[in-house]
Amino acid sequence: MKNLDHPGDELSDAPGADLEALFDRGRAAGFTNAEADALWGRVGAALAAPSAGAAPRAGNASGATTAGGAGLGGLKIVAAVVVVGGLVAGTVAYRGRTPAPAPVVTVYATRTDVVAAPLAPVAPTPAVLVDDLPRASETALSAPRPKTAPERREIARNAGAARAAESLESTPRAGDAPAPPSPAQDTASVTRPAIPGEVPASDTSVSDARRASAASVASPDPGPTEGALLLRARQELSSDPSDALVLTQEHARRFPAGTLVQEREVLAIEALARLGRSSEARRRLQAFRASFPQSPHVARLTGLVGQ
Amino acid sequence: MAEPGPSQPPIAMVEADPAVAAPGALGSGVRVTERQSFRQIFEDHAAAVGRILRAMGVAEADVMDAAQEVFLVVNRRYAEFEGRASVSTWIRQICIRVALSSRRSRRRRREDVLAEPPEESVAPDQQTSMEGAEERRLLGWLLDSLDNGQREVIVLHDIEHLPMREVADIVGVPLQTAYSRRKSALASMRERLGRRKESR
Repeated sequence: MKNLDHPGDELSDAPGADLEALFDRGRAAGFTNAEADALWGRVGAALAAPSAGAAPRAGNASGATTAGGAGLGGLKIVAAVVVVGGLVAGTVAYRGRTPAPAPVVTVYATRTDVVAAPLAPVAPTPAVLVDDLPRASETALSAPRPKTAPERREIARNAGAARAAESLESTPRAGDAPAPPSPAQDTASVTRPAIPGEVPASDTSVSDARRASAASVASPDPGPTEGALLLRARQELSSDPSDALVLTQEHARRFPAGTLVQEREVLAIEALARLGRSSEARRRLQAFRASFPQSPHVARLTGLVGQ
Repeated sequence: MAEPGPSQPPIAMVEADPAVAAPGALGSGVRVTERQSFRQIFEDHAAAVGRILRAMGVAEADVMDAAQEVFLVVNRRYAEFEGRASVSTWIRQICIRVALSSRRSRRRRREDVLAEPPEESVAPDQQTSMEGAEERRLLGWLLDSLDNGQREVIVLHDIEHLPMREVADIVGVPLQTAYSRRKSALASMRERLGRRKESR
């Protein structure tokens, strides 16, 4: 090819009008705003689950280990739920902070001065980037914005975060929280993921968290958010699976095209399984598998309800 | 994401890849002169990520998963990456890898593969909105006739409008190779398009 030195000459082999028109189509196939919002929610959820993004590198000062067993994107339920509920527990955790064990529910990046850390060359801790995601966390802990934090853009169109913020505003006020702990302590609190289906070990913070979040979901208007609804379903799952199932139905009714559809289905299947309605659970799992063939939940659910 | 083990990153390529490491003058895209927040990077590139994944043949059902994976990789690798190339070049490269791996795993599940040209029956009232979708399917069908190397070049140059030099960087081949891939790709697409027209 002779034209290599002439920029622009690559176009000399023109695709032709037909192909050009098709390429234009391809160019128009990017994510829509709605898709981008949904994606942002998913990325945030996945990052909030320590095993997904940054588990091994997040500080382990508390000695707690992360759930190594979950694949990338696993624990999405918890992550999503944590996006909403994490701070509630976080507040509680701060109140009754003890060196070990780590808080039961993942508390991620509630401190803004950690934000700059991953971007700094020294200690890349990607999990901290998460702070970028749930803006809601700022509402809850109202930590001072550090000078080093990168300038952030207004995320007016981020529906997911807005919803999360909305739900968090009904949680105990930020002022209740004591002064934010040091970054080291913070990192410690990041490490322990809440595992779906696992009964958390620390009773006090759990019950506190439940009470707190129950308060938050009980707020009358405009009704619980998507995440709050599923958080409650998750909490009811072991004690009252039929209630959990009802909550998933409510989710289906109110958010038919929500961003947490996958999580809702997982909860519904688990609830059905616990209620012993195994044929229904299996049918639903089949549909789930067809819709989300790559979901990390498929294997576990299959183990739960059988083929 | 289904395939990689838990402790193992889905794609380990960034450091190892000379194309990424090359700081060369890269055309479009933002130079990392200042640190960008993850949110900003997301905003800037989300649309392109969707576009590239789709054009690279990621099944619609897998696009969100793949895009999520792209941004998780971006998040995880950003600190190591910074400054070595343009963010957009880097992200496009990640997209290509993720797309290829997503298609591989789908093939393993024995789904997919468009063997026939798309049908062209559209209800009249939906005509305009469906046209785009039809054309997109047709484009996908044509791109499916290419091998991965050709497809990458077409997607990055003819759809993404990146300069060939940058395309070659991203794909990791000499410029000349990129040109010849594009040439054969265009020929093959034209030929397939022509045959389809004849058969109608």
